[in-house]
Amino acid sequence: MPSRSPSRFLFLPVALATLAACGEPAPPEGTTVEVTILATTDLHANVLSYDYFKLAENQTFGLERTATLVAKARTEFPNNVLVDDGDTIQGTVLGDYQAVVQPVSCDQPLAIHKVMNAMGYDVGNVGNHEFNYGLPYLSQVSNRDFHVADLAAPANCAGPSYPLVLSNVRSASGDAPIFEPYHLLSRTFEATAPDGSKRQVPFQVGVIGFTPPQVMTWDKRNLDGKVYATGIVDAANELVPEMRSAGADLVVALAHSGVDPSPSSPTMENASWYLSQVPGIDAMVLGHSHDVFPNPGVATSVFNTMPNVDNALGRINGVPAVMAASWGSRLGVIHFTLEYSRGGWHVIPEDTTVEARSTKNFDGTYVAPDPTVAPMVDTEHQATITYVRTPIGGTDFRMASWFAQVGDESALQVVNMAQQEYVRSAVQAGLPQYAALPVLSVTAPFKFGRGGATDYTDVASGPMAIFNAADLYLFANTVYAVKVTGSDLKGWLEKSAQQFKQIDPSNAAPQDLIDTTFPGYNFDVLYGDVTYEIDVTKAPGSRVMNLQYQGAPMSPAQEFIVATNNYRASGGGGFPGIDGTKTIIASPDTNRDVLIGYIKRNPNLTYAQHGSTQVWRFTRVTTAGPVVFRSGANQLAVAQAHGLTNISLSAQNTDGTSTYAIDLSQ
Amino acid sequence: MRPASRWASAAALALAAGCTCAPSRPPSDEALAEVRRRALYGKQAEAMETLERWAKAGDRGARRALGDVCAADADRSVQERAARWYRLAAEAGDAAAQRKLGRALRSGALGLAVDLQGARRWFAAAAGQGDAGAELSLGLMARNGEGAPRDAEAGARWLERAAGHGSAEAMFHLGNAFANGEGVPRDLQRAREWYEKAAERDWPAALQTLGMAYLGGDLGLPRDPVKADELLREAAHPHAQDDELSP
Repeated sequence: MPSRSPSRFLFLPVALATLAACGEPAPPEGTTVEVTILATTDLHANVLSYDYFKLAENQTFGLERTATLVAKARTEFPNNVLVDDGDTIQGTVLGDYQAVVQPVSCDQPLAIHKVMNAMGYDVGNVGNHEFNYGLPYLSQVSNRDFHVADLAAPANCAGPSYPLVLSNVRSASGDAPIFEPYHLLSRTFEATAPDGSKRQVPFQVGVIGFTPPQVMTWDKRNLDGKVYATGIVDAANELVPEMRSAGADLVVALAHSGVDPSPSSPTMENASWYLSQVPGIDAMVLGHSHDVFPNPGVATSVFNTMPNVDNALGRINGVPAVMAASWGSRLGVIHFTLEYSRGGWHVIPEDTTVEARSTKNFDGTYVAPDPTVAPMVDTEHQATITYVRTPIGGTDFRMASWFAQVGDESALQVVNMAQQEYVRSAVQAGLPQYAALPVLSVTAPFKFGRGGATDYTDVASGPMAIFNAADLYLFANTVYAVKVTGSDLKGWLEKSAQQFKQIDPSNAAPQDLIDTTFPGYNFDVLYGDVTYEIDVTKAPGSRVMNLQYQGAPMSPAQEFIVATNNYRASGGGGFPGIDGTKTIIASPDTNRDVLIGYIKRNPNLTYAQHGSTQVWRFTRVTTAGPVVFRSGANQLAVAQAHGLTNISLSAQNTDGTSTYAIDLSQ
Repeated sequence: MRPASRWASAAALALAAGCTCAPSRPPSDEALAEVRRRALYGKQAEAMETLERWAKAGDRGARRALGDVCAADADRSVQERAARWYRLAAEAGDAAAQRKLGRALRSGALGLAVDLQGARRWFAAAAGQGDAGAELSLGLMARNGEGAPRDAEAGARWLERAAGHGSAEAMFHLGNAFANGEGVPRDLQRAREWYEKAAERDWPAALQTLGMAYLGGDLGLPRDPVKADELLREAAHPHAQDDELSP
């Protein structure tokens, strides 16, 4: 050894100390570390286990219960990373309230972000629904400058205290991804050396986010010309190697995307099957399709028969993957053991376990909510409830579906009027080629006693609030419009008229009027300067009589636009010729919201204007015996108040219903 | 955060790849998809020019992609150009373009007059190449009697072919066909199976059909409000496949 100056000897320990601080000495070969990914997805603004339309608790969902699973998993797996896979901020009235009704201010985080911050999330992905409220809002609530032309950077707003990642949506003006495409989480984890001793090791978890490129069509009005989406697999191929060279010890793909093994295309929506084949991805956290994966032992699971998918172990093409359903009903858990060798950490595949833990216990009960969550968002929760209960208008008549199947249109007309007005404006604004066509509307009694003797729409006269709209419009459908001919309409109404059994006028015995196997939600009632009769003595298919438009027989060739919902327009119920090809308007707005908007603009609903139109009636016929049907008990007053004077009480039943008779000769 | 210029230069490279393409050498599928996205969604002028150059050089994929860009334009005179590009791509044998042209002829879109015979011919050409969307359209046209006498049996056969090629929409319509005995014997069990297949592929109307069936205990299903709730929630979550996104 050459001689050294004393000063140099003195310097040496300092240099060593510096080295140790700058870069940890490598752990001994064979050291192992356990790392666990805890994952939620598709929370859809369900912070609490609460249904704002029913104004009631619903224990089957809510982040307040997932939080309990997270706390438990963290005690089991101290080296953990908590991630969310997107569709986080939209999906409940609470989400709408904070975005649209009373927009959250820049200095406040969203209720769900507040809870996620407190839960200590490490990273989140951005789902397609994050774009529903537009780019300015998303930029504010995620406190992110998108570098999109004409969109100001947020002024240091409150948002998630963890990074959001998304690699495949880029600014049209700048070409850079609008979110950080991936993030390396630098953590110190406890590892076990081959001699059994514990030591702290630095560990980098690389996390990259993806969303379905279809967001470009779903949120066209918010995104067109401002950003564009690229293919999920393309983005992964480009960036995963970069994450590896940047020092990621483990690469986790947060793919807000389901699993579809059918032939690949660069823009596929559910790209995770192909994503798993991108080299360098150690685990995938999946979402978007609201499925449970792995889902061992469940016969109906779509994953049982997918090629190269192991539904017991949670592997897709050998890559560990998890999908935690939706609304916080599950927590995804991917538990890794990695071994240090040849200068790096390597996953031990056989020691990797994957589960999608449910908030539902084996006995059918649900885990208790984390008690810290509800107080955190009480203000926002109460404000939302107040909003749902706030009168938006009033009605001077009772809107009820007890007799909607036999001619009471009191619960249907206002829905039809709202849809008609909405579609009329949409045609005027965007479809000048159809401006001359009359706009009609259809809707049906969605609540018709299927769920029991009180399962009917019944909105009392007096003030009306948001939640009443859910009673008038049960399903979360969106407004669609179709272009049809008079002859199509005749076929449409004939299908509806199949609700009735064929009545034999000469039969002296009581005859049931309604075929209870025909669902009331397919009994479409038309509206808009039309009238028609239904002759129940005729065979199905030839019952609609005297169909008139503006007081004259409707020409089979005349064209109409009909406002309806996405279910019917795309073929729901199997109405002849209504199969998706006649759709001219496919609105993203729900029928319910359109109804709410209508009531807000017409806050004084009157029977004369909004409830008394009788578009259809039974063709008069004298029957030898009674014609009867069932509805809720003791509701005759509703029928009489709404002009159905030919109905009488026939019998009280023990199941909470009454049997009513209808005199078809009147 | 990385500088924006990195992404801009990546973009420039992708576009440059187009410039160096000789007309005889078509762009790769990836390059075409990238440029199409930039043109269609980013409305980037440079990307539109590249697409137009490729289209004029005779690349059928680029012609169809340019058709997509023109069809999405708000200006009706631009939309009419889409029909011409689709026709050029369709004549060169591009199945997606044949389907898109067929749909425009069927509904009288893109400035074309309704031509049901023409639509059927183009659908048949695309169906000959196994295009599920074209098979679906042929099925619905046969069932509705569009351009030929109504033939429910033929309709159901086309729907089965489309379903076999993965069309969730066709699976749903087949469900309706079996539920109503339209072109096939009425069979609620098979109806339910097709609805379930379509629902597995997140077809909203199928999810809602099953959700409502669980509400009432229809289609031979047990009454199950929790399951119904779950399915109806799914139905409200848009997943619909959109063939406009395919390059």
